[in-house]
Amino acid sequence: MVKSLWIVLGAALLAAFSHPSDTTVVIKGFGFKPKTLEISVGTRVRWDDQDEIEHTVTAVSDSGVAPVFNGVMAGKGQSFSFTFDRAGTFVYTCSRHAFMRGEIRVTPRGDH
Amino acid sequence: MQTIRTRTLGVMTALALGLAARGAAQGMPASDLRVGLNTLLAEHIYLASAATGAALGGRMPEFQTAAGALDSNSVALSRAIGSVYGDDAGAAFLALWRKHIGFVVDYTTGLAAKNKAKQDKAVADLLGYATDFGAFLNSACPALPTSVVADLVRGHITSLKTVIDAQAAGDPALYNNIRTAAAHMRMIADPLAAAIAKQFPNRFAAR
Repeated sequence: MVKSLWIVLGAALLAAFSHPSDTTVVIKGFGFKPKTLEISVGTRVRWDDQDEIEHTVTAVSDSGVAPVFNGVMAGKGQSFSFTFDRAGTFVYTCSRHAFMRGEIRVTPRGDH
Repeated sequence: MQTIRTRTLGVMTALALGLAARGAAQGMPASDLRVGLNTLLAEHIYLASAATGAALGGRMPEFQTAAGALDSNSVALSRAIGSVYGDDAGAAFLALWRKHIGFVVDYTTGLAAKNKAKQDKAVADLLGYATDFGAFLNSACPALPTSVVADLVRGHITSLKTVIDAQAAGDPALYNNIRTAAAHMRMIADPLAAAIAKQFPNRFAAR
């Protein structure tokens, strides 16, 4: 009985403090799939370039402010990862193809 | 600027592709697809030539009308692509296609202003764009290698540049150049149509 309680408690603690699972955005056909992604704080997002061309994942920022993230993928098979450690909405684009737009909505842990 | 015939064919192509994509016209002849794409891509040359000729001649109202018709052609092409590969692909195609038209406009205005640096940059942008376009089509249809499509698009760019240069020089070879540029589009339309038909055999009958 006591052993079972410890197991349940351990599982609960693990769930509460563990790193949220990684998630992937595919870049294909000059588009981000999914275009909009909702995750919780601490999640690491990986972008996989499946086009045979260079794409970037560049956070849109105010003029003069460095983007929160800016990954460059040289072509098919390349990837870029970023861990979102604060809540908010992050709009991003490909700096080579401005019509490509994506959005990451980061909610506080537990809200998602 | 678009003739009623070409406009109707363009709309018919988009509609036919759309119906086929929805399975409502299963077994649409692949030849219809090929003819439709050839029509739209040849029309692209005629309308682009009309626009650049008007721009170089300083006939702005005519240029604006031609540019509007050219954009209608671009939209028809994007709808055709979107009807096969989805709305997102259609939107990406339109953005990419308009991008190369923008570079052609840059080249033409550079030529009109005798601005060599602007012309050179536009040519470099166009050649770089060819690889992007190749990658886009390869992503939609892996049977079309990026490098092969890019080479075909470079051929399109070169043949259209020859037209624009002749327009600027007042060279009567212009009209043959337009025919050559329009004929070259078959090099893109035919393999694209064949690859789409092969990719979606249930939608396009092999006849």
